[in-house]
Amino acid sequence: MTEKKIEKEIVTILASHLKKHDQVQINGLGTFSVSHQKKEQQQEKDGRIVMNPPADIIAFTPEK
Amino acid sequence: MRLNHDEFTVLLARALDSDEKEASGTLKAWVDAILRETEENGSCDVTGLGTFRKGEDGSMILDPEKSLSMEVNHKYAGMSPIEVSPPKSAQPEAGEDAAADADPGISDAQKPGLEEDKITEETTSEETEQDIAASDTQEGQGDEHDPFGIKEFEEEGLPGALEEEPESGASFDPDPESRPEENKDDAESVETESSSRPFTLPKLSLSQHVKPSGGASKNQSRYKSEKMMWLIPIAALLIVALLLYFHFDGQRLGRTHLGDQAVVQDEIPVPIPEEENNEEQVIQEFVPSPDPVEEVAPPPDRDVRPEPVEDVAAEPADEVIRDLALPYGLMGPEEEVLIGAYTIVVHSLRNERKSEIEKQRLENQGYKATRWSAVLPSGITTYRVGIGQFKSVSDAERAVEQLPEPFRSNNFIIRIR
Repeated sequence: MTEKKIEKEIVTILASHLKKHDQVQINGLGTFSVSHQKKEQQQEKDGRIVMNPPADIIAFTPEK
Repeated sequence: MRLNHDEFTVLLARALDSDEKEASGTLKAWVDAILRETEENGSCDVTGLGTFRKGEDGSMILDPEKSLSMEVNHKYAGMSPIEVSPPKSAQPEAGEDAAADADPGISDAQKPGLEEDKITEETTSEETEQDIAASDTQEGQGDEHDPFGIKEFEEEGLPGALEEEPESGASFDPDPESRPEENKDDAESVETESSSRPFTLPKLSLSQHVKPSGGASKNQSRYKSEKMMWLIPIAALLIVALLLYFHFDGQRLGRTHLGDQAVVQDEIPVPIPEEENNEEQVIQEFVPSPDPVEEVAPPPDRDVRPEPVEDVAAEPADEVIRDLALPYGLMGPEEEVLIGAYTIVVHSLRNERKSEIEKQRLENQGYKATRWSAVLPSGITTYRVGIGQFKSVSDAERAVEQLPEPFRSNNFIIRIR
């Protein structure tokens, strides 16, 4: 089995769990997770106040 | 849910059709390759996942691939920031929301520099989703959306009507030339009269407005300005007279309507200065009515008489009901989708049937629920369910505070387009 195919399989498993907002831990590399960012208001330079939408963001915590 | 290393290895072994030990070794080799490449090159690109790179402090950072990020963020994908308040320079005197929020019927083109400009720059998906939202929610409603179209048309027509003023001035231009001599004499008399009066300020402004064409003489332009000067107050007086006429006529009509009921007569105050004449008129109108009523059927009519009073009393109740049924708000039936209004998105689902069920559930709870589909840039369709329709973002935010959990902490406000 080629390295590319192995990598594809690993990424497929990883991505499928991240889409379900699961936390995935891989020894030696770190932990992948999905964090929820709440909507927030932000003032721009021109004085406008803009409300950013919430978002689910992929977070990666490297192993120390 | 948490997937630890061992569980991941089991899944990988299943995917590779190998045993766990072999899968574990393969996974370790993959991890080592990433770490080595990141160390050597500063970054390592993993297709489908993203790019690992070294941060300033030497720690490893992952920049996820855009497609994966979008998949993970499918619930909010396509949403873009909305403007809560316009820039300070563009803020209207009446209040921050007056221009941007209070009038959702105004088209985007009429509000340069407001949120829509930025939103369109940032994503096009929002437009598609909201367009689809509008079209979806209008299915079967058809003409319900028309009043807003008409409103927009009327608002667009207003500046046009204002622009007609110079045109009316232009149509006034040829008049002096084609006018009979009598009028010219009148004009001269007006001119002489006006020359004795200090009308300098309006004369100047009007002379700036109505420019004489080609080689028109100074007298003609002065005549025009003088004529315009007289026309404006006359027109204003006419309008006032018409308004007064309709006002008093309407009052009289209302009184005669109540007079038909023949019950409220004594209760109606007559605030008009010409009390005596009006009362006489009212009495004259009322006098014939009791006689025939008594002649036709006195006892039943007396029983029936209170009915109109009930109607009169019921009118305010109807108004209250009408107020409650206004299209804006968090609760109530969704009678029409208000383009330009704001709604609170509480569900974003890929399953159409589930989204319909959620919408029904919210409607059963009394919320004004709307469902629409949003096509994400990746081509995936999500179905979003929003509750309430609000004039401004601040109204929507106030409504969010009334929502139960989890909606209160997990929602987003978008603008219906």
